[in-house]
Amino acid sequence: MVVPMDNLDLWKKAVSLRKLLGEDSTSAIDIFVLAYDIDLLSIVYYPMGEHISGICVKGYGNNVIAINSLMTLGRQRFSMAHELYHLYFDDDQPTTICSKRIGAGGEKEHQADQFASYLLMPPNALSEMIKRIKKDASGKLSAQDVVRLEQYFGVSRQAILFRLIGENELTSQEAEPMRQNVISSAVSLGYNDTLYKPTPEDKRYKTYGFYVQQAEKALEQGLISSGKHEELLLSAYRSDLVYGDQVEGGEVLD
Amino acid sequence: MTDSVFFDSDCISSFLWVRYENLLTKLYPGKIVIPKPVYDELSYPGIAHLRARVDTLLSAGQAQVEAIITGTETYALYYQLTVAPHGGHVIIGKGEAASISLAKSSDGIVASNNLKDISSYILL
Repeated sequence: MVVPMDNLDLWKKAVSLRKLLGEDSTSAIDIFVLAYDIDLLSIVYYPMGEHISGICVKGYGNNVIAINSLMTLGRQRFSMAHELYHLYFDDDQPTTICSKRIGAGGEKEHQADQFASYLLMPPNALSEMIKRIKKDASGKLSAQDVVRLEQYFGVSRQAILFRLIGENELTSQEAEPMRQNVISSAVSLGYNDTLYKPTPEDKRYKTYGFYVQQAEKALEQGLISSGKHEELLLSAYRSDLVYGDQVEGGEVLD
Repeated sequence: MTDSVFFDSDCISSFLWVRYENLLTKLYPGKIVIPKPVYDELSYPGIAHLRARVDTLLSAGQAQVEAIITGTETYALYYQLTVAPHGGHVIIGKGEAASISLAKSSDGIVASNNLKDISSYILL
């Protein structure tokens, strides 16, 4: 797979971020697990409606990435990778609000989309996977092949088609019918549908990372009362930390 | 005659979680006050069921919500407790502060299950 000259820099950035986050340059990654480990970063899940995919706010000493929890898990993963571009490599604006449509928006948005694609689907890894699943080297990818690719890399149908069209593995015309019946195309091959579903309703509002750590620290250092600590958690949609999970039987250690 | 009882979030929540808020309406009929900041805390996503139970109390006239008006002595105390506590005190939660401030302004009773954080502000 040949990376266009214009995108070489974005690929390098994706590789450098993978390295920074402790990942090799080719494996499929769990972008959320990696993001939770980023210093000074709070991650907020919030239902933002139909048009916004995510928001990145860069502050002094703390940063926030918000993800639209109404999007599918696969799309949320792409969005997290996209927002990480704004966090690490976009110095234009302290706050960026991003469209749900991949490939839409100005130059920085295009770059962030391409970066996200490279971060989640490194060119050499994608190339290897395509070689492995294609029936014959000169043949075209089928809808089933596309499902296998998106499942392997954990991305949405929109994200994988965006990339495959960009790599000339598919034409827009060939990709069009693959935008329909996404869930049934995957479950009929034996995959579960988690990647194609939004966050469950009871988890659509959540805050993770630095904010929760800071609230805990303020309590431990005696700067706030436990009531203030609970207020901070409730305002960050963490009623589970105040009142406990409403799951019967408690946690399982296995 | 019992004065109005101003609940903080944790205290009213304890009854709402176990669905025994009827105990309060029996013990303090017409005296239950939910400070607005407490009502707001119960309105966050994830605990909609608690807010729904409070709304039932309110619509049945068994409790009332009371706001803190800016520019009043009550607000000044609320601000002090939540933003700029005097020496030696930590910042307390808006719910706790609202129940203390409103109770003070109307000679009422604070209902809280977090004595440690508010004991220095109240008479037991």
